[in-house]
Amino acid sequence: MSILWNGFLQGLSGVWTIARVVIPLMIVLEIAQANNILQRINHVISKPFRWIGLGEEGAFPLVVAMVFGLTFGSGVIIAHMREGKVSDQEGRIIGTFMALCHALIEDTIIFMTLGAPFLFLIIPRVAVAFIACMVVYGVQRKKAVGRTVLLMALIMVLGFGMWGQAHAMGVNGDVWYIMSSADRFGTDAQVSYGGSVSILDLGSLQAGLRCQLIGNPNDWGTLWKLYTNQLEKGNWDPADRLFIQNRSTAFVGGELSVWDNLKLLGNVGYGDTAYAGKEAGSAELDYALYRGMSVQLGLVRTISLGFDLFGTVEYAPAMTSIRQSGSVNHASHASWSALDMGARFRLPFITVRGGIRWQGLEESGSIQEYVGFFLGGGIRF
Amino acid sequence: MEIGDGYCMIKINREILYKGFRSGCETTWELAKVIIPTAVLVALFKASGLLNWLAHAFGPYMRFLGLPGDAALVLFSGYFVNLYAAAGTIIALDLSLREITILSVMLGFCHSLLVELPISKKAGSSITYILLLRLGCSLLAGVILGGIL
Repeated sequence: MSILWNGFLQGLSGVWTIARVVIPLMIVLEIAQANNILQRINHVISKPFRWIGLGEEGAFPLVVAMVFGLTFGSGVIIAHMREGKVSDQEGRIIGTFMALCHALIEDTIIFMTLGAPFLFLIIPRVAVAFIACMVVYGVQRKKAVGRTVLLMALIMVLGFGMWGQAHAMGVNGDVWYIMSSADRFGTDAQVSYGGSVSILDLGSLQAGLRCQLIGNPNDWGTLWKLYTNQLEKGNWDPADRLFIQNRSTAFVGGELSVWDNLKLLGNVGYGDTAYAGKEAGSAELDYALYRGMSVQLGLVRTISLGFDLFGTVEYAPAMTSIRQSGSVNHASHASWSALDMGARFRLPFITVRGGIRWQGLEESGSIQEYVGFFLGGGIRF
Repeated sequence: MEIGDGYCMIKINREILYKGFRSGCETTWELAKVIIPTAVLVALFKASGLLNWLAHAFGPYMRFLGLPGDAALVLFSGYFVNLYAAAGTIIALDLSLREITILSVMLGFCHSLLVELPISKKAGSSITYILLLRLGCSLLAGVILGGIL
């Protein structure tokens, strides 16, 4: 019997907590209703609803539903539809919005009295209702665009869902000390900076971006100009030497366990290789930008828990030229290859890795090769 | 009593205040009619071991939402009955603030389906569409919040 009595008392105290807020609230809402306050301020409130294709007449039922609840909102929209103030298309948007976002005051207060934070109760409902209505509006306006938006929304939903599930978004960075280089610019030993962001990392499935920059940080502006096609010709100081190379790829791939402690990893990427360089004594800048598909394959051998040896090969056999200066060495196609070998320690949240890297870009009759040691690390969260 | 002047005038009189107070009391009464029996019922559930069984049965699914198994009872009462019933269940169970937050965002999107789906239908939307929309948003919100909170 005492169990039931305790339950009763708990329920009673819950009712009291909510009643203390609900009664004053209802008085305020009654005043608002008796004075037609919503009608008066409707032209201000209805502004954001233009994004989802609703005019003042269409926004009014929504505002009513958000303040007073679904039943009142439905009453207004039914009356509006009967009078022909709201079209069928608008009706669908209103229905979508109203279903997700109504009685904001009452519902919010119920959960606030239980301790949930205010912003969590308001912002997600309003934001999701707006997004859903934008999708519906997009579908109505143009079927093809709508489908794209739907697809994008689906991908985002999946991505976010999995991200929430896998707790995995990783950032890796490394520094590469180039021991030996062979190119026509006479580049001597330099430092390279590399990095990758894995946007989606489910362990066995990964998607992300990889980036590798060689050259003096002062010259990164040149690379930016190369990408935006702003490189001027011929007015370079002959005494200067310059070299900058970038390799960036967006990739999707995965890992496959082939043996007890041996994993095969592979991914397919799409990206570009760009470089700009100038020998001392020349006034012309030599640059090119190639873009194409690449494949990366590798093996990971686990030695002990959290310690792996790895080797990967990346190959982009036929990248097409997007932009280039008038050098004889340039071709319409170029091939890129890279080889990494090293070891990595995988601790919770952090990874430390290091090893040897070789990479080369081959154009017709000209190759740029770099070999060196790299050391880096990353965090995943 | 009237506040303000001319265009921006707000009328408050005893009748309006009384009406508001009465509708507040009615809401509270509605609330009590649901919350107290729910709390008693959940206490009974807890004592009889039924809640334990339910928590075990739904534990694996609720883990996707970052919630313990017995939170399934909150979701069911909110989805099918109404938010007051869900509030009653939350009061009777011992849930952390994090779990209450996840549950309240989920229930904000989707609640009182038995009552509200017909209302949506009356306002011109298809029941299947609204059901999928609300349930989908609710579960998605649960998965995302369960992951990040």
